[in-house]
Amino acid sequence: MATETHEASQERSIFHPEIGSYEEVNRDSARFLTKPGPGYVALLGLALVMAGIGLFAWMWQIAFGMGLSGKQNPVGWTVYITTFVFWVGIGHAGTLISAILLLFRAGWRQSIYRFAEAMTVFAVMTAGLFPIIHLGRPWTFYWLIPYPNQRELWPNFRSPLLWDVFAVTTYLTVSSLFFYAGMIPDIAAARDSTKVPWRKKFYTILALGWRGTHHEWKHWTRAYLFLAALATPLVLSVHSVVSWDFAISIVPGWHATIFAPYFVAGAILSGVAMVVTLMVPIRKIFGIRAYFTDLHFDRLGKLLLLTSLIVGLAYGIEYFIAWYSGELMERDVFWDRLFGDYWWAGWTMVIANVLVPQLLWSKRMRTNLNAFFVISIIVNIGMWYERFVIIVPTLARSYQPWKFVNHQITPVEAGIIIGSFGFFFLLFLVFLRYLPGISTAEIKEVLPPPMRNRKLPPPREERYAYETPAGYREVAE
Amino acid sequence: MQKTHFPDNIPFRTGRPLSATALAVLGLLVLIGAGAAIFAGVAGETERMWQALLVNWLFWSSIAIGMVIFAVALHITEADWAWAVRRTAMAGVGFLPFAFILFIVVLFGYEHFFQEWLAVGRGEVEDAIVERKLPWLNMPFLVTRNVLAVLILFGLAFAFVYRDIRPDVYGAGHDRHRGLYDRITGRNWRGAKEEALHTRRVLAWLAPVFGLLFAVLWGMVGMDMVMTMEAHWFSTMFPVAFFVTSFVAGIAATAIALTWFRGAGAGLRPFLTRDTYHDLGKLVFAFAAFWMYINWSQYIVIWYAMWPHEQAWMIDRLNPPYDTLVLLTVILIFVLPFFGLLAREPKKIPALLSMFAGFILVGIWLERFLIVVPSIWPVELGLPLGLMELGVTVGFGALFVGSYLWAASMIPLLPSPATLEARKPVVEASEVMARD
Repeated sequence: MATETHEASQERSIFHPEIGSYEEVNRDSARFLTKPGPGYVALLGLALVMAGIGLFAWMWQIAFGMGLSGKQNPVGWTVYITTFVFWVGIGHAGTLISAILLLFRAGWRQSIYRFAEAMTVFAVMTAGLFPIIHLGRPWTFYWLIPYPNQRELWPNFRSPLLWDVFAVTTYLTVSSLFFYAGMIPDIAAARDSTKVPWRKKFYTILALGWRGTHHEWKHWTRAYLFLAALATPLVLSVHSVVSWDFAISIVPGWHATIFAPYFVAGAILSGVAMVVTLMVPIRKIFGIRAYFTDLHFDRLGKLLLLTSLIVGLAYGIEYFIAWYSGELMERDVFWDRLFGDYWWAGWTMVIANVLVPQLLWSKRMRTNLNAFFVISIIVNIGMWYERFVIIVPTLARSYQPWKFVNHQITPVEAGIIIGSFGFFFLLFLVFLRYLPGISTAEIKEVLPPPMRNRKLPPPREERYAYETPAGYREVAE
Repeated sequence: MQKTHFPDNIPFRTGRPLSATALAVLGLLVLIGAGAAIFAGVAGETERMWQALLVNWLFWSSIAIGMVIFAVALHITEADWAWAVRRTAMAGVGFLPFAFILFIVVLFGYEHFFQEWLAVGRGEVEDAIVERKLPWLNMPFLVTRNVLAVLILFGLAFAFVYRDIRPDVYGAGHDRHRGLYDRITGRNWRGAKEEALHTRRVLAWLAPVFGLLFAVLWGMVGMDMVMTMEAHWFSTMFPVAFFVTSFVAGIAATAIALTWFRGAGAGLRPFLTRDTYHDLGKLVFAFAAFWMYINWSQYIVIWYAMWPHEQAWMIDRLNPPYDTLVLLTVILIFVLPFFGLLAREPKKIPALLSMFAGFILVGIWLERFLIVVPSIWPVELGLPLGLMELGVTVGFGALFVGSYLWAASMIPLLPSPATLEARKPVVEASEVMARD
């Protein structure tokens, strides 16, 4: 029996049965870097417009003041902090997939981890904009950094807001390093295959002189493993620190000990949802169906379901303990979330994050990409609302009733949210065109090796009806 | 990506049955434990007796259910590396019937555990906040929901083990367990291959549902039996910390049991490679760190907020006589395993890994002690940790070891080829190709 499995794996890879040879992997990964088709250009244009809207809204806010963002006492934190937490959260799935699943030796991560990691880096970069936008006077952002100065002023090291600065920058540094280090062999391959002069120069610089010698691989795999081990605790720590922005305060509704793991689970939930949201169109547009198979979506679906259940459990515990506490303030805040003025946000959060993902118990749902795509978008919306529900209604109803005030999302805020999505998609689309989006080395690891006596399968075009995907123009070989 | 290689020839192996001497020694130890408890009761130390029973019940049943849940987790994640580990974890099911009986016994100590809110319930003390909690904090409801929760969890554990071993025991084994195996496989036997596939289909939903209910119900048991002792104190992390600690205990206990079965216990040495230990060691290491993360996340929020009613719980524990024990707990569960197992080599040496797992278990016993005792024991009477507590612990331990080994002597510790064959991915990658 054992030998049977072994032999079967020689025939084809479990994860990518449709990829026949190393040659195909090379070709598919190189195709990403060639001329884009109309689909790609349209998406890029859309992203540019969205980013432009955001930039305009920000300029407007700088020119006319923070009043445009609708902030007033006691609602001092609104949509910007919501969106900051949202994007930091999105950044979690990439490192989970690339680092933690590497350590867990989960074999299905090879083809998706590069996208997920790029998503992480760009999401954290997007998130980093928001505290600065939120400052109102963005040019003073460097006051956050502790450095000796003639004013002898130091940031408050006991403030979790400063811990945030460190947590997020550490995360950005490590995940960027991890992202870049993993790409080096693929960049070298792109360097060797491209014929465009400026690309050649660009890749030559980035490839750091990689030649693919035995020694280089040996050190590279080691370094990659260490970076993965370093990145793993960060997946837990970053969002824990973000959660403490809220939890260590004494605001009812924020002060809860469960916040750290609850935020981490929520972050992974939203991150995995975003991975799916990105993967489904990429798969269609760039015609890389053979790389994102049912197996991948099945696994991602399970991961999404698991984190959704954890988040659901955390909601349940929060609500139960709020009731159990016997404290009137606690009870009131949580009652208000579902039945107060912000009931629509509260119910969106519960339905989108806990109820809708339950559909993924069914295997048919996990592998039905249209359905899964819709679910992933619903979860993305729900996770944004989760942060909104935690931040805005809680502040709107804090302390004295004469101060109660409802926050309306203003046009400037909406513009900046749209802009953040534009910024994120812009970075992501540019990445797809200029850096290798598939880890060729790791996919080849699981493919059957090209042995002399091994019959190569016929080219994929003959194996199933092959159309030029919308993402490309015909490229003369 | 490393692949797990299964040997071509997998024998039918169970744990060695308990010898008469071993049985006698374990029985004697159980009697000592019972004696210690009864002696304390007769000598007027009923407080100490009940809290020692509760602490030990929480500890040993946490290990048992934690082991089964570890097996469930290995099943859900399709952990091929653990093919020879999973059944060792599963044998924790042996203690669960005893745990259920002991739970009923422990519940009789309710007067000592829940005195604070019982007094409010009887109208002896006026307390507006606790009065609002009385719909939850009353004995009939508490007993009903907890007995039901424990019954459901332990029942699911048995269902899981039954389903999992059924394809492997048909006509197998020595004469000793023939009757049992025949009874397990008696009804609707479909043949090993079909049974293994059927098991897989059933466990595909049974295992995740069990895992989910474990988090909900075991967290609730922890909350009801421990957190409510201080009727004013609440922490949303408490149920999480409670079931996570059980899971950590399950992994640590599995590492120790595996080392026993590797040698004299069942002769699994050829099937447990250094890589198996490496992977298991990584989990021990990771979950030791995770335990610290969970507890730290609870602590820092309480420390920072400085709410009197919330801090009280921590202050009780971080002052004499308990402060050294807290420090010791953190050292045993986190510091020693973290630094000891950081490198690769110690994870691969069974004796070393078991030693650190042992530290973790001792630490978890102390943790169970520390979440219970400071809430109900008057601090001016000093640390209630003496020969009596040791005796009860030894008694519980002997019962656990005996029942564990008894279960392991019946459960095939290695899966059959049919079971291994059935563990193919549920979804074939090619399905989507056919559709596109």
